[in-house]
Amino acid sequence: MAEYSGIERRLVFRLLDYWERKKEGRKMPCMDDILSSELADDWDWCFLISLGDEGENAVFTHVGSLIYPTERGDLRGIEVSNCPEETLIKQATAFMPRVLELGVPVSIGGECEDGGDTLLYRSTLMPLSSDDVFVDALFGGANCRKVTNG
Amino acid sequence: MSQAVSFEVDTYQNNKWVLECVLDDKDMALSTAKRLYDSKRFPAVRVVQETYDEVSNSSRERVIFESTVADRDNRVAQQKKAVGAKKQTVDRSERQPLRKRPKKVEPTKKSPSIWVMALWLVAILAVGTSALVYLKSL
Repeated sequence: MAEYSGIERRLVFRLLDYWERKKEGRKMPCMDDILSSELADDWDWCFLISLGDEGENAVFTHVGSLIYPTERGDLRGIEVSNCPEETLIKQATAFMPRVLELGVPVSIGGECEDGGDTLLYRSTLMPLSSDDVFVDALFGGANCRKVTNG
Repeated sequence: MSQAVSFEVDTYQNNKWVLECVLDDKDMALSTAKRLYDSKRFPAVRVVQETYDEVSNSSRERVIFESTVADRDNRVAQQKKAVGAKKQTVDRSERQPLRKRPKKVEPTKKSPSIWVMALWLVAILAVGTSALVYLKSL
């Protein structure tokens, strides 16, 4: 885990801080509170997921170009369950059920394959709610670095 | 892997512990807990290490960090004490070289002046003369 002491951790801390600030006395912010203009360059490492009733039909509404390059396709409107395998975005959404179960941010790191590269990544997934009772969206982010051999 | 370890960051609110977030990195969990505590919005924070055993389907919890208002007060008091102690000790460079205490000069006893002695003599003679005159008149 020592490898995550740099950039990877800082993004997650920034996103957790942002989510915490946006709560403003509530249990969690809502999707409208998450503004690309406030996240600046971090926005390209972030994604938003809209949930249907009872947390089903989770669909991407935003996927940053650095977490999933646009030349690979547009994931907006795609269900999370249909996320391409061996990608960073797949890893970053893998613990979605745990976030829905706990209703709090979860941060996971590890090693994954993405586009033929082996990456060390750190991701976070945070719940959003429009009524502060039911989680109806998710806000996430992840960044990574390539594992160099030798 | 048969065991999965995660770290839960809890804050103390309304007489109960409330889960704030879950991380798989101990350092990040500790850092998150300290930052929440430093925000001074919670009287206490803690980090709980949860070890989940997939084979036995059971989990074990252990508090690895806990900080309360009392801890913060103690820390502040210790810092103040340390600052106070530092002020009390005088740096050698600030010390003045020792100096000998100056001797007290005893005032010299002056002998009565000649005029005072003459005055006393005149007075004694006057009293003696008066006494003789008085005795003769008896």
